[in-house]
Amino acid sequence: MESKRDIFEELIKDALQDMAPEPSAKVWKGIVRRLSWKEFLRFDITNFTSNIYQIAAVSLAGVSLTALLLTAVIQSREQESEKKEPPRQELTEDIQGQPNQSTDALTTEEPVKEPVEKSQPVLQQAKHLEEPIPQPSIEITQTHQIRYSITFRPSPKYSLLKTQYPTLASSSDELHKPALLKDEKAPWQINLGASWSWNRMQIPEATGDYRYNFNTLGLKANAVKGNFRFGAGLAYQRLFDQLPYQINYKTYDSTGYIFNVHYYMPDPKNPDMVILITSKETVYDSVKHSTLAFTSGSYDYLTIPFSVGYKLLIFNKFSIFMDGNATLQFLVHKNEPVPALFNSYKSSLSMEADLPRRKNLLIDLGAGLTLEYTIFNRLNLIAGPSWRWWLQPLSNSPEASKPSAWGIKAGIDYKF
Amino acid sequence: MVQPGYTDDEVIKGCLAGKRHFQTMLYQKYARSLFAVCLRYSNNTNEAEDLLQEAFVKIFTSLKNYRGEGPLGAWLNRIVINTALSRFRKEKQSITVEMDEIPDIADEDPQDDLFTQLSKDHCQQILRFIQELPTGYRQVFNLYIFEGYNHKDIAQLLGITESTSRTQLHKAKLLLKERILRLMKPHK
Repeated sequence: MESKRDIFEELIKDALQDMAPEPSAKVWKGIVRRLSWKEFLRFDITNFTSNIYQIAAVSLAGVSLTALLLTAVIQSREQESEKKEPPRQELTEDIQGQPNQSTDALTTEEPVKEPVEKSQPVLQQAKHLEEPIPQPSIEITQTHQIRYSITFRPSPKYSLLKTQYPTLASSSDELHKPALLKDEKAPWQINLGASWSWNRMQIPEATGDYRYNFNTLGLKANAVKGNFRFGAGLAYQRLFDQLPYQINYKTYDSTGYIFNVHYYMPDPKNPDMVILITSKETVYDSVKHSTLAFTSGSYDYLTIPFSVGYKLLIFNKFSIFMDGNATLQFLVHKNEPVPALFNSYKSSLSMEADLPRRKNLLIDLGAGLTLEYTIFNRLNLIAGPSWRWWLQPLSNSPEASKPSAWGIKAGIDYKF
Repeated sequence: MVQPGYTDDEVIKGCLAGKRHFQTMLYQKYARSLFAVCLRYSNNTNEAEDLLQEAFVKIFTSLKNYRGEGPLGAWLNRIVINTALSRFRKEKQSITVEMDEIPDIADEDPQDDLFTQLSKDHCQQILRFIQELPTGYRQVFNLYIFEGYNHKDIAQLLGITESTSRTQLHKAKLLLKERILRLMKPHK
């Protein structure tokens, strides 16, 4: 009985021994996703390309934090100086009452004399105590300082500055009023921004569109005048492509089965029949294989985007811009992996790669909308959709076609 | 012409350097054989694929611990089995079979020459029968038959007694024999 069981175990084991089913493609995708996440969490400064997103995230966080701190410091200083000053309305009236008076004119002896006279009893008291107190000069100095600072306040005609930097005199309505739109004399203003964009690439191919996602990270400076803004920057993006490989090899593989009859015996239940005791034997021969395999190549580009934007709309703290872009893309690094092949069980292995040569310079044109939200006086959050069309195919292959992509961008913008 | 192949050592070094290309190669070489192991330890294909995914993530993250003392395939096999066992432990699927899960099993051991006709053609059906075994039976059966563990090792591994391991193996085999006989008899 024991030996019977052993035979059964061996039979089961043999039956399943060579079973090697193919897992579905989603397994490897899941593994890559989980490994990527683990790699993302394990920062390695020596591996720049794989850590570009961490570097970008840290840079973005750093820029945001610095901008926030700067804004907070400037705000608190402004508030402190405003507290020390008398209400601005009165001061403005003073100036309006004496529109042609210079700083020197405001420091004439006339306004100074009065407090000096009023302080005479105090001086007498001080003499009595034999302790001279220079009290009158303090009031004179204070008056002088207030008047002096007023002369350097921005002129009311610069509505941009008045709109962008709130003072105690500005009401909240006045703060977001699009006075800039009508002001032809608005000064130039510089903004610096950091942004990330997620894009969906689409490359038309004869066998169907090849689609994948890619990211772009970058810094951008904008020169703003009135409703227009002109920008230029530096960004990093990684594109991908399918790489075809023709693979030929031979294997010594099973080509069929034969049954060896060892002996036969009459069937006890059916005397007209016999039971054949056989063994199954697999027949092997050299089999030629030819297959087309694809791998995914990655291409890193340093890009220089140029943009022109126009402010379409302002409401409360929101502004909407329409942007047009042209981007130069320089290929800086490429990774073109070969298919995974092992020599084991294969002979006459050969692999022919017909890889198209990737272009070193690409140009694309883009359009987009940008929604800008003012968090503080100088700091904005930006987000919006974008569309990009490449002016040429990504490679020199005659079959290659021009790709396009749509995406969503997000970032911050700091006004200097 | 491109360099067509790599050795195991080169692939391991590439994986340790975090190169996705070499990880792909390792996966493509061993995925099929390890998936067969996963299928034996799981109830169905989806569960087996999840298990394979989890095992490969462990493989890539702990490949630095492979000292090259034994064949790479055997080391990978052990990781898959450990992953399977710890996974079932996590899911609180008790090794001892619940009462309502135990099917009616004949006491006598079915003997039939038909077993000798078992071949690789029946592998799909046999695999299905193994997957349909109660979890405890299936684990003991796999560890004993395919991995070659003895009852003492199985008892330690699963936290059960040796006698439980023997009983579960016996019952698993009875169940399998019964189902295989049912499969083979119509062909007679």
